[in-house]
Amino acid sequence: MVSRMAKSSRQKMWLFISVFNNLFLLGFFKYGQFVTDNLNALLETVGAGFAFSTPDITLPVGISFFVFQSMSYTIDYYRGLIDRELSWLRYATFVSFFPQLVAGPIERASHLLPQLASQPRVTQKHVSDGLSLFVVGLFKKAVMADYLALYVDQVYASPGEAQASALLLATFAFAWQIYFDFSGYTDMARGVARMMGYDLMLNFKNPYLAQDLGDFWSRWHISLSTWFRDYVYIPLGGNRKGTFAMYGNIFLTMVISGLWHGAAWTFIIWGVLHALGRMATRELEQSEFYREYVPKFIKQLMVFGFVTFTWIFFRAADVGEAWLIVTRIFSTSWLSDPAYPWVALFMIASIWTYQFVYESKAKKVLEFAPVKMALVVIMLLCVVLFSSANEQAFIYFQF
Amino acid sequence: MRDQRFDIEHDDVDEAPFGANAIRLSLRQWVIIAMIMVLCAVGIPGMWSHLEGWTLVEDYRVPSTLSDDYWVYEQFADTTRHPTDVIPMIGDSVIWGQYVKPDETLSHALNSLQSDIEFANLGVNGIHPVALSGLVEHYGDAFSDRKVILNYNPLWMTSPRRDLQIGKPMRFNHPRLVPQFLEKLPIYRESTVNRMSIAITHHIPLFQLNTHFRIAYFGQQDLPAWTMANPTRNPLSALSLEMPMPLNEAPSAPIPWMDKSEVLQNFSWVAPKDSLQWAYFKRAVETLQSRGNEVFVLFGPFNKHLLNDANRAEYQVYEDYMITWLEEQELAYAAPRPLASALYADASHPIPAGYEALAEMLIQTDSFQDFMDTK
Repeated sequence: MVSRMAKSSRQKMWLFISVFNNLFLLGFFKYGQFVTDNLNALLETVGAGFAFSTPDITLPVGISFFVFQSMSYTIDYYRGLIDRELSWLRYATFVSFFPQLVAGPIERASHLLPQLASQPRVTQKHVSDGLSLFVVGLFKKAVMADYLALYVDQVYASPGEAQASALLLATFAFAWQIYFDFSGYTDMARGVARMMGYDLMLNFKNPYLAQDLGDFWSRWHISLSTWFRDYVYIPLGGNRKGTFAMYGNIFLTMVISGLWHGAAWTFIIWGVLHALGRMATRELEQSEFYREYVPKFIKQLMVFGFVTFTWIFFRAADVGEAWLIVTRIFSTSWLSDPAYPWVALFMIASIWTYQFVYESKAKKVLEFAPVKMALVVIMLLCVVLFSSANEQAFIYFQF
Repeated sequence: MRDQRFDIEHDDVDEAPFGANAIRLSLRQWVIIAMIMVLCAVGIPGMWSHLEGWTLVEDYRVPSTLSDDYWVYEQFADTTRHPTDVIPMIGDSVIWGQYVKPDETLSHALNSLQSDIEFANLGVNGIHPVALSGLVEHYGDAFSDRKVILNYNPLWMTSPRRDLQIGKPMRFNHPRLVPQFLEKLPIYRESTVNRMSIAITHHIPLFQLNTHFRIAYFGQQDLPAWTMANPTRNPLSALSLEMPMPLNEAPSAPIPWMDKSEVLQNFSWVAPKDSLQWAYFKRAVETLQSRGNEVFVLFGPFNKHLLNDANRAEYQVYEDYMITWLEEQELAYAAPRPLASALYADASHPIPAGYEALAEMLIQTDSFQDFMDTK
């Protein structure tokens, strides 16, 4: 419809209608209750004497993902970056492509729509690649994420009773749990799509090896961070209007990103912290000493430490609980027995080491066929042995 | 099929990077992986069985704590395969011996009375005929082409609850052995994923071994939960590498039933024609026969002394009905008269002296002698 408009103002109008429609849907379903709750709290504070009834809204599965995918199509078409899609069915398939519908990756029309234009030719390579992706994803989710969830859930269920050591390790475990959970889903989604002959974008790239926050966001949930870059950060002005404006844009983008994850103050604080962290590491990178003399490993540990700290706000039930955890980490014993399973620690250490090696010059060792095959056999055996009765839903399904 | 409005074809779309730390295998390598996994699925359990040192031990019975460890049952059943003159006795706790020690069971009593044939106690504590049918189907391959004794305990028909005929989900023994998909038991509620998992486990020894680890070594917990409960322990240290032995004790005190309560029972019998348990018992018989087994059915001995007159009369009708079926099938069977009242600990379980009396009765039964004598 937008293409038929001759005048730019009419195009803008249709773009506005489309974006408004998408955001309204997202806002109604995802933020309706949050807005009402906060409004009621405000009304109570000022003694208004009445309150809005809280809507009981069921969140459509994957709404945050397909709304963003739909918006990217409209905006890209408006910008002239893609062709018009005349087939409603093909457009609907693009928006609701089942492997990635509920938790991404958030595909761009320019990448997925052309693939839907013709029958995919499924080759042996598609099948083997799909299997390769799927098995790694299965291992991440069924073995690692669900395993770590046992400890995280136990500690976070009653943080007021946990000592600092347990809270630290639970937060450390959650950092890995959410990585395994989300990237595991993505791997499986990409694997399933690949086996059908479709290619979905890379969404994670060893995020816990990032050397600064900008680097982290180019490795974590890549499809979302590039979405925000292209449709929020750059339209706001990006880094084109000076340092102050750039930091303002980073701040706004990260806060919106936090809010995208969930309708709660904890997610907003999480976004604010990431914005501040990103500004801080960017400033540090300006210094020659930091750039040249601080070892890469230290930078990686600093980023991991900071990101892990922010996960407290992501995981906590509310701001009060997050604050309780933060204060207890600094006020209770670091030396008490956290009852953290050594097996889990060993597994995380092994995977972290694998990632370090993969990004080092020793990478070739891991590309040696017998090594790869041995790793796959170990992963599959772990899937059998570690399969837990404690099946957990994917964390990102809630978004 | 190409859409002309796009100036690029499907295959022309730039492929996204494969992965950040990908383990990318070719199809040929996947085929090799599949073969390795098949070898692991069969070879590791076989190796483990060897490491645990499974051998035929006199008066062995599956430890009561491992009643639902069907991997153990299968290993034990396998030890009775050679020598071939061992006759497995299959059934519930009447065969297993709820009120007796391992050397006071029916199989022990029969072994004491004669030396030509050895009887092995392959009873499972708490197993009902519906589950027994599943046990025979999935874990009874070792019995193929042999003589077997199959016990039927009418106790499982004494109420709709015991007959699994309650219309709402309830807990019952050995749910993993009941049909998961083909037939629906209203009493059984389980998610489809878990049913699939259970059904697959029956066919993959590696999965059975994993269940064995959980039940036998990790205190009924899966490995992740066990490491949570034992954070500093190495899971390998929990694996004892020994054949699990039963305790030399009776799980319940062998006290005659009338010393506990003299109240006569008025059971809500389920008629055999409507009984799930009886239907599945018949299916177990068919399964065994289809595998070339020569089946001898030991019916009861049920404690009729414990029934009031009306209930006893009702039961007798049902017993006659079931015996008639056994005769119609030309099955070798024995339906011994009830033991003396004082030899029962409850409605169906004898005390040690009861098993001795039952064994003597059996030995003197023509059908049982014929069964033992046939080659």
